[in-house]
Order: sequence, then C-alpha cells, then structure tokens
Amino acid sequence: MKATTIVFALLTLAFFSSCDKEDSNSNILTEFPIIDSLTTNNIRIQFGSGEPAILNCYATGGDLTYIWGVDLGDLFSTNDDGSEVQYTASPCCIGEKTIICTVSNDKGEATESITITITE
Amino acid sequence: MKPLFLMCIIALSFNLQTRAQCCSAGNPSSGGGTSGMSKNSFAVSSTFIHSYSDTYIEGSSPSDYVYLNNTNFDFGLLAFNYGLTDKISLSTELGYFLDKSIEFNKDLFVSEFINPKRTAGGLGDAAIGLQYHLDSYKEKLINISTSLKVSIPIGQFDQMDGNIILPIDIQPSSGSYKVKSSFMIHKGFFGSKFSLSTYWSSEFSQRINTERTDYKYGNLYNLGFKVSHRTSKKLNSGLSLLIVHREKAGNNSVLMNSTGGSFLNLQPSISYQMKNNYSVNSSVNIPVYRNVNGIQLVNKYVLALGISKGFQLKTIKPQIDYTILETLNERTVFVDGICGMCKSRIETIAYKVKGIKWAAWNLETKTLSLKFKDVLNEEKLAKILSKAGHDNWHLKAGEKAYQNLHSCCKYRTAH
Repeated sequence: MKATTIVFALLTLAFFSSCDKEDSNSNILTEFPIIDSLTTNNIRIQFGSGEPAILNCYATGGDLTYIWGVDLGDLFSTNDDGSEVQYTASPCCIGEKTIICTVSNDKGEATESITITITE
Repeated sequence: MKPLFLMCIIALSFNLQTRAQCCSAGNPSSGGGTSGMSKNSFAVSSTFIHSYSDTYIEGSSPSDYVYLNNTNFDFGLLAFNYGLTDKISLSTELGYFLDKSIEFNKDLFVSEFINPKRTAGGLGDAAIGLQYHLDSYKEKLINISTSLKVSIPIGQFDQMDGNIILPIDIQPSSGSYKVKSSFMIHKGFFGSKFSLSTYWSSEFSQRINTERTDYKYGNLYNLGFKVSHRTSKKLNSGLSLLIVHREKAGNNSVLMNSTGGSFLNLQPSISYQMKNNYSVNSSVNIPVYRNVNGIQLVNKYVLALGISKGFQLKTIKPQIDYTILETLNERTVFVDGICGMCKSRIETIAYKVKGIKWAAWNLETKTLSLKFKDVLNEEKLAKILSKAGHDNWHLKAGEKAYQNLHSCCKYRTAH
C-alpha cells in the first residue's frame, strides 16, 4: 500500500513537471530568425569620444538571442534583450571595423554585419 | 642534495618569463626557456604574475587621454623542463589567466547602467620548446645556448561577456601560433660569484584569419642583460635591463597606428634555494622608458613570484649483475662536487675505468663508493676525475680543468 502511494506520487510529480515544460515551450511560437535591418546612428566615430555609435538589430523569429562581436573596439549592451549596443574604440582601432550581429532561436540563426569607421 | 645548477636554471628562466604586456591577448611574453639542465634532470616551476596598468603614453610622454581607467591581470604559468641530454633540454608551458580585467572610463558610456568593468579568464596559450646548449667556449667560462619555442593557442579565443564576444585584447588566448627563437650567452666571473648573461629573442606570429578576425600581432624583439650575484650558497640576486621592441600590429592588412613601440625596463630579481630541491623566486619589472606609436596604455609594474622543484630522474648506469655485486671489492674515495650534474659526471667517469662494476657518488659526504673486480686502477680514476675538473683523494684538478666545468658545478666557490 505504501509503495503504491509513493509510485503514484512520483507519477503525479512527473506528469505536472512535463506539463509545465510543455506549457513554457508552447507559449512561444518561433520561426527561423530573419534580420530586417542592422542600423547605426553614426557610421563614423572618433576614437574614445563620448559620442559612440549606437547599433540596433531589428529581427523577427521569436524568442531571439542577440550575440554581438567585433575584433577590435568595445561593444556594450544598452537594453535588456540585447538588440541594441553601443560601440566605442580606443586609438588602436583607427580604421574600418566590421561589427557582426548574430540572432538565433531554436529554429536557427541569422547574421548581419555593419562597418563603422573609427577616426582620429 | 643541493643542486645549485637549479638555481641557475630558475634564475635565468624566471628572468625571461616576467615581462608582461598590459593589454594583449594570450600569455605574457616569455623567453627562450631554461639553461643548464643536465641529462635526465627534470624541473617543474609555477609562476604567478600580476600586472597593472593605468598610464597612457603618447610617444614617450604621459598623456591625459583616458579610455581605460586601468587594466590588470593575474596569471599563472606552469612550466616543465627536462634534460634530454646534457646539451638539449625540452620545455613545455601552460598559461592560465586567473583574472584579466579592464575598467573603462565611465564618460564613454551612453547609459549609467553599463558595467564599466569587463573581465575574462581561463586557459591562455601552451608552448613547447627545445633548447640547445652549445657550451663551446669553456676556457673562457662562457656558455652559449639557443632555443626555439612554438606557442599554441589552446585557450578560448571567443570568450564572451553576456551577449558580447570580447575583443582580441582581453581574450585569454592569443588565437595565434607563434614561433620564438632565442640566443643566450652566460659568462661567469670570479669563479661564477658574479655572472653576466645576455639574450636576444624574436617572436613571430601567425596571422589570425577567421570570419570575425583578420589580425596579426607585431613581431616582437627582445634584448636583455642580467647581472647576477651569488650572495650566498642559497641566495642569488640579480638585476636585468630589458629592451623590448614590438612592431605595429596589422588589422585587415592595414598597420595599426597605436600599436607597437620600444620599451626599456629594469627588473631586480632574487631567488632562494630551499631544501629538497625547492627554489623560490621573485622579481618586479619596472618600466624606465617607453616610446610608443600613437597613444597607448602601458604597464605600470609587473610582479612575479615563482616556486620550482628539481628532480634527477635517473642516473645512467651499466647493467649490473647484482648476484655477483656482493663478491666484489669495495673502496670509498673523496671526490669533490656540488650538484646533480657533478654526480652524473663523476659516476659516468668511474664506469669508464676497467674493472669498476658499480659507482655511486654521495653529494653530502662528497664520497664515491665503488665496487670493482680484482684491483682498482686508482691512478687512472684519479687522473680522469681531475682532468674533468674534480678534486679528489689523490689529485687536485688544474685551474683550466676546473674552469671548464659548467657554471653550476663550480664547487670551490660554494665552499
């Protein structure tokens, strides 16, 4: 009798756990991510200035994760979902720098890049 | 055992491993390896390096420009060295960043909520190298060695901070294979009480060419001079003058203006030999002159602390039939020496004398125990030992033979 109760309790727990997981996934309808545009307010910035470039990635697909990268210079997220960053650079980085934004979800990923020129 | 040769090894290698750049990817620049490893000797060393930078330089003058408030790193280097022969040694290194961080000037940010501190850490680069001890001018107490080392980027090169892939300069791994060649000359004075060593090295990096990065580190050239003083049997102190020149780095096939430059650093160091072949070392690297291209953040200081342990893995002996060993004649004689390298030499010489079937030299008592068949040719043994530079029960080594000994084997100055 006691063993039956334990098995029943475990099955109930497993049932509700799986329901929770299914619910969380079913709430977000995702599609393959598409980047509509990658924009900046400033394609030429002066190194180390207080007026950095602000970059925005506009994408669709649902439940998106934004990853930003550049080989030189510094990127910082400025909003919660990571779709906006600021880019600034030190004197070492004078010249053209390509910033890459990768957007991904469970269906796949999309990449777009933009070139910012760092001036003296 | 008190193998003073290890002191030489550590003093030299440590000197070369404490030059650290403030804001470059990968391990701090290290030198050409070790000197003075005897055959089958093995050394493990662990070095902790702390670097701090908070000063911008434009050309050779301080600059008011502030992009980063400061940068610093805590780095650990584990190194293994093995003497393949008395002339050739093999070295391996593994670098690990405990912490590598930069703090930005807050005025750069559009939002006050941006964290001005960025950190990275983890495995840096590994390296494997070979050193060849030329040792070709023994009469003049000069030892010459050359080495070749390959650096392998085993650590993470795409380390992230949140949703941002960190730029090259804070990555723990360099992301690039590097080849470094070194040439070192060491000369002893006053029976190795003082020594002067100089080395030259050059480092060339492979171009990084990935989807995200097209980058090539500037070639690096080092010239160093070190004066060492054997203050006591266990204590060695030194002062190095290090001249470093780094060429401009290249990004997308364009040379970068604010990279590279010439640097002059002073580096006092000290090493202390402890019991059981342990040795501790410490040094501080202080810049005295910098002339950089454009504006750059430069090192303020680099501190290093290291510990090493040496092992003599095995002594090569001829095959012995232990069943007849007990039946042999025995004799114990005095032979002077000071280290594991001496032990290896003395025993090897003993086996060359006809009739000797077993030989073991004791460093503490300075005695050579022998087992031999029939009669021991004492004259011959004493003569060969003295010719090799070792005073013994029968003959004193000539000055020329003594000076021909490796600098770490100079037992007379240590008495």
